[in-house]
Amino acid sequence: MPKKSSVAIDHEIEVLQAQITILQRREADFVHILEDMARLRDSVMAEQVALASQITELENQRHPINWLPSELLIQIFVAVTEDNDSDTSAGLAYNPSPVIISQVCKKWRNLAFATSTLWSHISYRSRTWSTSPVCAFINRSGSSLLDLTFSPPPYHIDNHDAAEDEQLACKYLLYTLGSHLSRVRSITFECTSTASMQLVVEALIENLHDLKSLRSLDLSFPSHTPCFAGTTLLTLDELDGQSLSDTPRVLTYLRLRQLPPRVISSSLLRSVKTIELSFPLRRSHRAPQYILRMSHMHRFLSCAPELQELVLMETTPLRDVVLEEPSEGQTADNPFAVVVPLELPKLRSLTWKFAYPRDVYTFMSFFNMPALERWEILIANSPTKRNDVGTLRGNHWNEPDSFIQAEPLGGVLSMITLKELCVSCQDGDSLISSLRQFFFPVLEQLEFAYAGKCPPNCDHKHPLPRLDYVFRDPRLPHLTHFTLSHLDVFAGHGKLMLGYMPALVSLTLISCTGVDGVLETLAEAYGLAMDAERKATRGCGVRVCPKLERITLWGCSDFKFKSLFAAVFARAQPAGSSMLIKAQKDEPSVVSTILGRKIRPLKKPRVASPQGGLSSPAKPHTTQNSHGTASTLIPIEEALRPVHIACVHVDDCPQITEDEALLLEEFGTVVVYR
Amino acid sequence: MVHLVTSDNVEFVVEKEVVERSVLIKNMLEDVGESDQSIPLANVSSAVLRKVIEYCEHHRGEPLPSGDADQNQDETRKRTTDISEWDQKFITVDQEMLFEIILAANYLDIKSLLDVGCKTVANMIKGKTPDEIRRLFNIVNDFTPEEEAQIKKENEWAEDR
Repeated sequence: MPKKSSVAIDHEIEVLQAQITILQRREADFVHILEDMARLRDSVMAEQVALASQITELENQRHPINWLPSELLIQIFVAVTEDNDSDTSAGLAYNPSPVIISQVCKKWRNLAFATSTLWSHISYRSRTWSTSPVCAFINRSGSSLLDLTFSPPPYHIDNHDAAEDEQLACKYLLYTLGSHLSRVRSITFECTSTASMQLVVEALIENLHDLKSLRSLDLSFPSHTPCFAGTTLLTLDELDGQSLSDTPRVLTYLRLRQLPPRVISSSLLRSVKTIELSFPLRRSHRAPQYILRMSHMHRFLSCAPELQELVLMETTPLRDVVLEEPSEGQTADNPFAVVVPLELPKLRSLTWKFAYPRDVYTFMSFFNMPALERWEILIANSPTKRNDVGTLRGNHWNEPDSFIQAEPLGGVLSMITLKELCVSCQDGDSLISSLRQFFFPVLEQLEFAYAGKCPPNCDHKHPLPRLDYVFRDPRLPHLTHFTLSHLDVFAGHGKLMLGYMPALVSLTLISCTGVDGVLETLAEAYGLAMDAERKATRGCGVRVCPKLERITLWGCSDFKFKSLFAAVFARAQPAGSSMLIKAQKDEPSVVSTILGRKIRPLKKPRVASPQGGLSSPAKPHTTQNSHGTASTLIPIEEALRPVHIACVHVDDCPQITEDEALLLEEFGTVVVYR
Repeated sequence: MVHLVTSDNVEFVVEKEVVERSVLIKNMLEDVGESDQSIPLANVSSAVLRKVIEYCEHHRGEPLPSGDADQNQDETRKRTTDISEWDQKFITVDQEMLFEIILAANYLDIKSLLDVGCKTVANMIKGKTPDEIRRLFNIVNDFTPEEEAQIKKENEWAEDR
């Protein structure tokens, strides 16, 4: 091959470089084109995604859950997580609800993590300690107030391994929460081991300063027989402990089950408005045990001046004190401490479940409740057997007859502010024996319910005792609402009963028998009157409850529609009744005609009116008699012009058809039929 | 009596006492004063308003829940998802109506009805796995496999159930 000259080589290189430059330019053009294409492709893809997302959005709109805005979804999530009592969290070291919610879809996950309150319910229901879930919840809860629940599965009291595990879990949980106590809003602590409970009690005492946000405290033993051996819980007394009067308190709810009340600091009790005590006793040979005594209860409740609601579950304190009886005088050899009734000045509501009939008066006489408005009582045998029942029932410890020697029975308590009374019982006898020593002069709402075992469609309901057997004074002149549940009203009792309730506005009968008799009483006419238009006589007025406006019948299957119709008809204002119009003008003669005998008007009592003049004759049902109780007689004008029944509610009464029930609408009555 | 007109142009005549359970309508009536003019409810259909009125009629005369009362409840004890027997029967409807009622209660500002609706949905969710919840409400699982792995990792402590 001939050797090329350097000039020729240079020329060839120049040519090749020129070609490369051209190719590079072409390549740059291609890159540019490719970039444009990629951009175009991206934009098309983005458009596709946007359209697909619109389709998804539209598809989602088919499903109602997606109609809800985020704030309503959050409200639902909060409702799910707040109630972590369900079986779903049993045995778990965390509240599973927010975890599950956060795993459903992206939207729910974002909402769950953005809502710190969802993670503020720290639930620990396991005996095996695990730090991770507690730390995860504490971190995710941000600065929200915390609700703590520690409730590991109960175990046999002799299972020492389980007790050790429980104590360990309790100890670590309290340690982990140590720096967050100031934002703990509620504590629910339920454990089998008394040693675990002692850890919590000590933590409460030591950190009293930090518990600035604690509003609810619930400490309980699930076991009926907690054994306090090896702990100081029986001797600990914090009622006289740190006062901390400068620390503002917010605790309003306190529940104790089987835990001596005096372990709670009086400083915490200062603001409590609701207390629930549960001290069921059961025969047990384990010692030492705790027995709630009246002296403990007096001292404990005296530290809660703001108390408004008291709930007693299977709780009747042992009487280790006697009441001061100045008139009777105390015998010198009386071995019991003498006390005066403890005043609970702000108590408005008392609920007492499983009270013994004989305990009712004796217990109540130890307290003075000047503001009590509502009393709900279940007079029944406790589901758990009480220890040494004979010595507990209204008697003193170890001396069954001591109260008879020490203080007289037979007093009467006047519940002068009580407006609502709900009594459930297991038999009529307990109803009769428990309320005879009470006066209820201003009662507005009364409910009697049978609480014993009864099959759902049982036709043999328990008989309701006569009202005058139940109450010392059966007259209820202010009663507006009366409810009977699962009881049989004997023929004749209905009339007697309703006769004591002249101001009754609402009558509710739930799963009762003997309803026909009650309705017939409501239909009973005051007398006969001439119907000017039809030229015939018809019943006029009513004998009982002229102000009745509402009748509710639930699950009552033994009454006939004609009885209900008659009760509503008797109270419907007859159109164009000239007799009643006349009655206003010439009342005595009209009444005489109606009753068929001569009625002489009574002398009008001359009562000084507040203005200083003489008042018109006072309405009999509002007149005070010599005992300070209003009369229950119905004024004639009210008996003759009863209020018409505005509403009849018939629910689950299969013998009444809807068409029948709707017939009552003819009288202007609103009928609710289900 | 108050005249209400729904989104599908149906007029309802309701007692003032009944309809004032809705804070929205109560405020409207206070602003407008006594008037026979109809109140248009553009966000509520007649079928839903009928249910809402049924609820308000049943709860006629009951005290309206106040903000304070709610706060007190929070303070004293935990809220539960318990619903009264009547409310439970009332709210036993298909999902579409249930969510319509919730939206209407929210719009009309009837707190107690909104609570009943939300508690009902909460009760439907409770005790179910994520997959069961998706099936119940027809929710699409839109997590990528990477996100699924991430969720699993961050909740390792929740796996050993």
